[in-house]
Amino acid sequence: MPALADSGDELLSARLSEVRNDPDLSNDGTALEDLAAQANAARATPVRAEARMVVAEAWLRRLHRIDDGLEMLRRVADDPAADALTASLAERDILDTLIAKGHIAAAAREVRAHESQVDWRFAKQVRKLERRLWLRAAALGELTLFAALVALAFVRSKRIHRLATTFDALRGFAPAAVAFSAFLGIGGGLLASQFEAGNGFPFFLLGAAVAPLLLLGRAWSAIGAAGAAARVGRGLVCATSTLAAAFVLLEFCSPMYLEGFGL
Amino acid sequence: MSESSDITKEQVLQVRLGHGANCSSIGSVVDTLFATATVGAAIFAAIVAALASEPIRVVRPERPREPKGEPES
Repeated sequence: MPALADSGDELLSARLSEVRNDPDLSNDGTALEDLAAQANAARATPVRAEARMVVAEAWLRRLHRIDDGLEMLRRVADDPAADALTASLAERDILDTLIAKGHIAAAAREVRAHESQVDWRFAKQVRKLERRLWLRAAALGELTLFAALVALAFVRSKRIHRLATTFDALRGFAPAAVAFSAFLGIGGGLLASQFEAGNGFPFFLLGAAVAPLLLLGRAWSAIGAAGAAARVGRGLVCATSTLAAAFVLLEFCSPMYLEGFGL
Repeated sequence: MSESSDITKEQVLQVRLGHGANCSSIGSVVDTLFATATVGAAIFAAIVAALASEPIRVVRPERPREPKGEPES
């Protein structure tokens, strides 16, 4: 029986080096299927893990069989016979693929489940990406809440025929809002682009995002309740919305800035 | 990198040791600038939203009443 098993290993090993050394075979779907079947039928050895790794990488990178490639990598990562380096390489490939496909939550779950196989720096990076995902959801939720509250205030103001008051307040405040946003966007952008590594684009976007927020905030204050609690609440919602808008646009156009803030 | 853009020994004036010691701090200056701009905008938005509108009451000045039929002296 061990003799048969050994001959099976030798066959797998021979087939593996054949596929590895022949560019045509390593891109041939049928040859890879055969190698995968042979590896699945073989006993648990480091050669089996290597063969599965070769198949998984070909499926993932050249043949675009993402799900099959991920499943094969999972088998390598969970294989007790695979050497530690191959297993952690498989785990890293799983994480890279999940992140490249935008499945950050799945990548974070993967890191939590196989923490020992992942380099701590990379694990930290994945956790950071997951945190960013939650922050993005919170930021979008905040902006939606702000829009809903302002819309509600507008409806209420229309019902009590106070829309004219709102537009009067907006007319008076619009020049200040535009001037402030222009100062923020153009001034900050020009200053940032003076530096060699600086990029003024996020500042321009921030200026463009702040103007409507300010105008909506002013409109809300003109039609909203005048009590101290309501005013403080409005102030907090508007300030948080500004921070949320800045986060969303940074994540969209320059995630490097978020890195600088430790986010 | 091409050979022409390789840094020669003569071009290196100073090498500092330590974490990020040879790195320019411009990145963090721009980060700080952006953070300041964002916090400034948030504070301004909070103040604007917390403004209270005072109701304006237009009061018409009363007309001085003309005395009726003053007795002629």
